[in-house]
Amino acid sequence: MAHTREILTIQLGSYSNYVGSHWWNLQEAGFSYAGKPSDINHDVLFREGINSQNQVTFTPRLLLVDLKGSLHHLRIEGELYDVPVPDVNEAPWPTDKVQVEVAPERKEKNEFLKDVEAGAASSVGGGDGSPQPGKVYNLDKDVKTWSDFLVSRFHPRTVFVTNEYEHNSSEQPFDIYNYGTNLYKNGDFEDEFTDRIRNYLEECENAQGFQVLYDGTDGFGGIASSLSEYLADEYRNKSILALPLISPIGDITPLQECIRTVNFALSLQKVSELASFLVPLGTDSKNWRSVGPPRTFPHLKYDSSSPYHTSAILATAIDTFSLRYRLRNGSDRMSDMIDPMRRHGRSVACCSLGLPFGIKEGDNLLHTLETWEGPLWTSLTPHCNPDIEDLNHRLWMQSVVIRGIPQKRLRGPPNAEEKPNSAMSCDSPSQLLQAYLDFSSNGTYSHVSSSESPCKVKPPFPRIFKPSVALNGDILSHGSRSELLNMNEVPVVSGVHSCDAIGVMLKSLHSETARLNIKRFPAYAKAGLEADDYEESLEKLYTLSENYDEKYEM
Amino acid sequence: MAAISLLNPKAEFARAAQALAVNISAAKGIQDVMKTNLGPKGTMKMLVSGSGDIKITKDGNVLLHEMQIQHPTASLIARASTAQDDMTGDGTTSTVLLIGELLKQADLFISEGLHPRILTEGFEQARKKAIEVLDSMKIPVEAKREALLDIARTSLCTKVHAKLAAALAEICVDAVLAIRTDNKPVDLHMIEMMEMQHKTEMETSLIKGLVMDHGGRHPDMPKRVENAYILTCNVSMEYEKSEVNSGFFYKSAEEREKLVLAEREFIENRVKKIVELKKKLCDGTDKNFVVINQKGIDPMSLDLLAKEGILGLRRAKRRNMERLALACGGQAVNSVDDLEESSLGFAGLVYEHVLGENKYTFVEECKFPQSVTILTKAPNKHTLVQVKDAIRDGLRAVNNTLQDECVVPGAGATEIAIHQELMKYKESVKGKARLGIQAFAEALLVIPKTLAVNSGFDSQDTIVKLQEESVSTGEPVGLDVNSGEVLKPQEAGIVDNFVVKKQIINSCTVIASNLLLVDEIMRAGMSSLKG
Repeated sequence: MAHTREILTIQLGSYSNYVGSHWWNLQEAGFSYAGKPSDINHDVLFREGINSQNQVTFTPRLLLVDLKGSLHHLRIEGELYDVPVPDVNEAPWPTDKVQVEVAPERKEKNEFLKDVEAGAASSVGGGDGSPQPGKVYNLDKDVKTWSDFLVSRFHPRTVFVTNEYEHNSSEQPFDIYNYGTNLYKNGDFEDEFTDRIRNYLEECENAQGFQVLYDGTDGFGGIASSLSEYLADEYRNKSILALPLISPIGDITPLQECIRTVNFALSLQKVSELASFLVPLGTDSKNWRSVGPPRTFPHLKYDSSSPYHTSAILATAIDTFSLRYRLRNGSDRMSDMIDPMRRHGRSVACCSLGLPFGIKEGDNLLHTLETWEGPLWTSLTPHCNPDIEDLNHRLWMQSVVIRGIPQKRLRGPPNAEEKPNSAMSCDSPSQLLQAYLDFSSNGTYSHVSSSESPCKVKPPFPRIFKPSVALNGDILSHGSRSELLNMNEVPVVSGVHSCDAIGVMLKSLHSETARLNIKRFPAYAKAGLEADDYEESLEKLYTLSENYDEKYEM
Repeated sequence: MAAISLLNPKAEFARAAQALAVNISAAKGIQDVMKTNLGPKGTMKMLVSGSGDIKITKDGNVLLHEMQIQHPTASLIARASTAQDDMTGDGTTSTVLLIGELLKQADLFISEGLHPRILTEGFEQARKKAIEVLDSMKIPVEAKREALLDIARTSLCTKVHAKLAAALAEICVDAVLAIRTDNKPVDLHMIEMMEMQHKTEMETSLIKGLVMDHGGRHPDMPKRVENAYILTCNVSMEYEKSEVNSGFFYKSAEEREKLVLAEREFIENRVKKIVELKKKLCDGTDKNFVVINQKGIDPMSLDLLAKEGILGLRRAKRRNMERLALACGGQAVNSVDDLEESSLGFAGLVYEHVLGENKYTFVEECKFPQSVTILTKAPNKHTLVQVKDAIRDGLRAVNNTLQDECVVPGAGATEIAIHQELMKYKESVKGKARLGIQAFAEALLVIPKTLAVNSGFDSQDTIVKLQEESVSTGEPVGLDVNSGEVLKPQEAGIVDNFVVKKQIINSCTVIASNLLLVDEIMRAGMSSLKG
């Protein structure tokens, strides 16, 4: 198909917006303005438009929802489609009758954003995102919300703020699943939101479907399930890839921990009925009431309680595994990845990430794989560890993307003494990795795609790489990178896997939720959750987990 | 020591007089904020968010939604008042004012030792009497344009400047009258609201037809057609890979291609059926054909349609399917099999308007449009929002009148009249409850008083003047906000919705009574367990 395979991305909730902001930043950092176009087809996720000054704009095809007060300095309508603010004196009402009330906390932009703004002003319509490549920012301290490190600029249609609930409110927190479903139904939310989706879809020639990132642990889970109901009904043949996110917990009481678990169980169950595919993501190895230790990456050192850090890791994974359906020369659609995996009702999958893909300085891919020890990647879905060499677990199917390995680093110079093997006939990183996975796995069906573009981890990407990682992502065998320099790019591997551990995850989610007495949480009943519906949801969640039992394999 | 602190030592609480003081000060606080916005001469508020987004409004409902109200009592009042808006579309500011004033008046008596219970009993009696008086003041109206214009203008004058209010009033009345059929309640959803960021708000207009926010997506499609058949359908004309043939079901690339082609043909047949119908009906005549589809139409199908000179629109709003059928006749079809002329609608003119990256399609000159569009225009976003909110309220006001079949005099006249009646009624009541009635009567005067102050006149002066005039003429009299003199609201065309006033009196009494009867405020919920 010659036409773009457009995807509409939807971000529901604050943590989703953290992840999303990193993701859009990564993509914009990867734009190449000169020379060879990148092998990623950015038209899949971005849209081209014209603003009122007849300038061409290129903005994410994105809809995001957050609560009142979460945007800080970000303007709802964005800046690209700005019309000059009218002079109050020209207004058609008497000037002496206008009272001005400014919101109490007017947020200062941080140093990074000021530089971005200055950079954008000097080169209208472009600039490569990071205005002063060498400058080191202290974003760990400066970032208070996701808009503090957002480089992308949005279309006026993108930002959707609901006024019903306030961000970080202790009076009336948005922390119950049913608050979300109620919010969606009441008032103009549904009408206006679905109309924006329709507007986006109307522009698309050949839409593949939707990616829905949502915070699974609070009220946004409710919005996500109501929304998937609409999407499944109105856009029946489109794929819906739902990415429930588990935000780092921070400092909370056991009670809130329980509420998070119930919310996650309810939204996961409901969304799994409606969406085509779900990949839960989080950086903790275990969840549901008792949180396990954070995932470790061999070459990363990150703060597991910082949403700014953890979201960057999740964003890298999403940016990488989604490459399969947004490469310029590929024709795969989201459904090509999803449909084979979701058979037998296994609509939940797990995700993994190798960041960076540990290729040593001066080494090549073939040699790296030959000498590799341990798992290739770290799981980003709680309770799952998709390791192909683990014989105790079944890994049925996986879709893996490797990026940032140039053709010339595929293998070393031909060696006459070595006897020819299958690896020699591979002429792309994807084929090589495919061969490696097929060889070392235990009956796993693998699909591998590759892209030459590495992940551009320049600021505002957090500084989470260990000093042993070089600026271009290579692993240094000795010496270390200077702390004064910003990372440039890294090779990344990421995959989506269908394995039996997901059944374990779902079962533990079910048992931890079922153990709770819902009557002890009156907020649910007050928000309209019927005890019967709740029981039924849990029942269905258990049924879903049974789909992963081997005996159901045909 | 309150009992709650035995149970939960961390609970916060306020008792008796203190609790009441908390509630009353909250009510006064929110009253102070909203006071200046009442009436046609009230001021506007410009709300600026942390990021510089602005909103300019004087609509009480909008203000309450936008403001960050922290105090629980204040947010209770705010919610009562937005509920008022949900039900009637008007009277939010009055609700806030009246609740505040009721508590203020009650405070005077309570500080002298009167028990709140007695006061609330007085309120209840006063409420009943007030409703009786209100009933007696009804002015019956018929569904005539002039009569409805008055009510729409009165309501709109309190939201936007006078010139715009006059223009919008006509639009609202015409819109409601256009879609109204005898003996049936009006469904306001059948009035589509479309916005264009373009020109000024004075260009806002009523389109007797439908305006859609999308256009043909093919360069060769006609931009303007006359005498058009309109096919409204919900049929996918988009090739989509179905789940079955993805993955493992074909052996080779050729086989896959074949499947794709077969699928493609299936879609193509649907388009061909439409083309056939078009040929049958339009070829050789001056008629044209427009397809408006709720589902998608992909480029190849668009191409087929464009070749035949058919204008095809995809992804129409779900609600527009219903509206289209009402505006141009015909009905929405779910399948292209057995298409007939009878299911098609007809419009005299269909044309496209491009504004930057946005396209608009106008379907006009319909024969008997039972669904119309109000096209809001304004140079910027916040004015658009302001005008849209105003129109919504104007439509509701007109619709309320049609349902009530009556109006009541505005400009503070009803409040003055009820006050006088209540003062008379007070004499006939025995016991301390009469104090409650007195407080209620005084509280009602807050509306004309605030109107006077907002228009730049002295409140006492005005009230005395109005009361004298009212007694001497025995007719309802209101305040002329321009001159500060007395006027007859009915002659000046200042009338209010009966249902709005009734709702204000009812809900304010209930809320105020509830707040008065509170003797302890505790705060020991989930949130306080945190510390």
